[in-house]
Amino acid sequence: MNDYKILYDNGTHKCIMFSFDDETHEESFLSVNQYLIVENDVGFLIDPGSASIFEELYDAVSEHIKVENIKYIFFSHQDPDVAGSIAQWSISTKAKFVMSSLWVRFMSHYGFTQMDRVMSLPDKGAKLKLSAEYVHFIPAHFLHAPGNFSLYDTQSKILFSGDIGAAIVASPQAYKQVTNFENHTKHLLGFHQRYMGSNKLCRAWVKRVHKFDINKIAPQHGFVFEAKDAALFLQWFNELQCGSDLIEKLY
Amino acid sequence: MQNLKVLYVEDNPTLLYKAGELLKKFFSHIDLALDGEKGLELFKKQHHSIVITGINMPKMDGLTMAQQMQTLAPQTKIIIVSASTDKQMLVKSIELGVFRFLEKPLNPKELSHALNEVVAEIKHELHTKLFQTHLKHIFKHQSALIILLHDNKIVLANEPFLNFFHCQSLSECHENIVSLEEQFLAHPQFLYNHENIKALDVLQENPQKPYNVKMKNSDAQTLHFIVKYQSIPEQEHYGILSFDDVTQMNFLTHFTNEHNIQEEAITDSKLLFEYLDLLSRNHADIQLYNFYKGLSISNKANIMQTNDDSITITTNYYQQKAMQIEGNVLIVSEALPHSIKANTIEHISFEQQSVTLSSLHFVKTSPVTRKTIRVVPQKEQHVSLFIEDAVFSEKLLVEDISLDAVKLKFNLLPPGLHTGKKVRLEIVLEQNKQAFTINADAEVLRKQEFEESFSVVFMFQSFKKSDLVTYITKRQMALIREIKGLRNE
Repeated sequence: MNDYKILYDNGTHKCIMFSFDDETHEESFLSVNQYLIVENDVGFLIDPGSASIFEELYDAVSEHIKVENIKYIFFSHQDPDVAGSIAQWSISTKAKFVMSSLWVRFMSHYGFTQMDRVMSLPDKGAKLKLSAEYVHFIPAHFLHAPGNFSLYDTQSKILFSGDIGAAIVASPQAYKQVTNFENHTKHLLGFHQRYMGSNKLCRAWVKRVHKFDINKIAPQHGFVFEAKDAALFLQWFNELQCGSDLIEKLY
Repeated sequence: MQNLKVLYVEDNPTLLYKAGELLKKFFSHIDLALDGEKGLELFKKQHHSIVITGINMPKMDGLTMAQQMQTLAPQTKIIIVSASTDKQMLVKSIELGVFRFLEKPLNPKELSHALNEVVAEIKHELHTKLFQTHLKHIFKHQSALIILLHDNKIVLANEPFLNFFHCQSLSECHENIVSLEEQFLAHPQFLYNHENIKALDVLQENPQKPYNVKMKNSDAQTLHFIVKYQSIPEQEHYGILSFDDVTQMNFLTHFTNEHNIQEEAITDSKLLFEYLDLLSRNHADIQLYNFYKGLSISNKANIMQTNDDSITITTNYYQQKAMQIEGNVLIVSEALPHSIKANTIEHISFEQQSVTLSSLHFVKTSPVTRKTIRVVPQKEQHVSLFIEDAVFSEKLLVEDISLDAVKLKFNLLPPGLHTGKKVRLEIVLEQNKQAFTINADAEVLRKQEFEESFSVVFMFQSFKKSDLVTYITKRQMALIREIKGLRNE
């Protein structure tokens, strides 16, 4: 699926969703989303994905902003479908790379060596000003990666949740939005039970994100949760038994 | 202070209800109790900051309850409300350290006044506690100016800060200093409010990072400081700013907008080491740069020790290897007027992750100004240069290549290759036995002449960049492997 969807646009601040999949692995049925925030002439790219989709995403992003104006590229965590293209983006842009301090040293395995371009996030999170508005990096550790952050955009009120809220689905539609939450849980459950650390961690994250006024939750895989469904998802995630809660089952 | 917990204990249910309603206007968490025993029970669960109580109550009187609360949590603020002015009772109240004594019938104005006072006192205690807890971690120097900020407002300041602005008290400080960041004066490379830069925002977004600022004291003397912001864990709106006076070093003139500074201007190595020592005392991060076959390798480091002519730093293994291979390193910090080059690697300890450097001096070039990733290709390559559609037949060599430009080595320089000249380049590079072809229009940016050769930099004009991105990525990966492969040499 090679398309984009404007999630928010007030004339000066825009959030765009892309869905580029690695077509060589289509059989694995894991749709991947990439996001771009454009505020005035500042670009902020979120989880740009693997090296295999770099070219397509580069071209798609160029439709919305001059690539040299991408000031920040954020990786919610270290996985190849999130950060695998760091070397390509480091060559093609002058952007700073924002990630958990835990993963900085691993980036050379993706062919990246310019650590002066990294803004490493402390465990407790941080905030960053784009041109006028702030984005908040919210700790989401062990959900699933040990150094993991969600991103909240104060202007659009969108929570970019990384793997939290990810659904294991193919990507057939133009815009992927949850329409029936109850029905959608069957795509969520297996992934979250196995990938997320524990209910204690889920609750800590829900408590954290409840401090923000959330209009949409935009995960890195699968469908976007809008208003009501976002609230339903947070309720569901707060009660989820996963990871170490299911230790008897796993071992 | 809406988040403070308040307990009201009163045996008259009507009075208790009314007082509860009044308190709701000030505080979000109110607990009510009809006797001392119940009050104490609630206190043990909720640890209230403020307790307002009557005296004569069933089960347990107010003073006994207050005494037990003070034993459990001495910082609790207790307000007594009583119709009795019995001397013995008053003495006991004083002994207990009761915050206020209010007479019955309770006057809402008086209560509101007492509450404002008690909240101010709690705030002050919190500020002092934060200040004292974090002060010692920041600077050992008593001479540093230190302030505690709450939502960008100065809520505490040490003596040197007050003296600097010639203030007797904090309130005088508020009158004299309308905006702290406006005190930071304009100076090249310094932190001050201009264009889109808000100095306090920059400091808060980069905790622990040292910046240079210039301020005028009350005697109109301009002083140079290193300023650093420290956030306070769990206290989102609070932070500490510390200013270290470095005027004596006389470095102001070395901070200029000119990149091609006079290297000779700073020959005083004592000053250089004093500056490094200052960064070390401030636990400031420095950034190291090495270039392996064009590839920029950059990591953070800390200065562990400064001696008369050497410094010992700690950094990661990868940077250590790069330093070992190159035999030198560039040191960069925003607090430094220029980059420093260390030309001698005295000692490397991979176990301690430390490196001792000497032969340090300021340099003209800054690696930070290098905007693109350049790599030196493998020898397997072929370059064709077309000038006015005619191919230049001599052998050419790619010295390094980036997405924006290529540097070619010529043994013979063709005529007409002047700056701005438009040419066409066909470059075939090989990596991992895969060939990459770059066909691009280009323009001569600059030429450099050496004893037996010439180097010419060509800026690419228009071409499909994706192949070159792939090539540079692969080359970069290969160079990383090379560095790692040199591990046991």
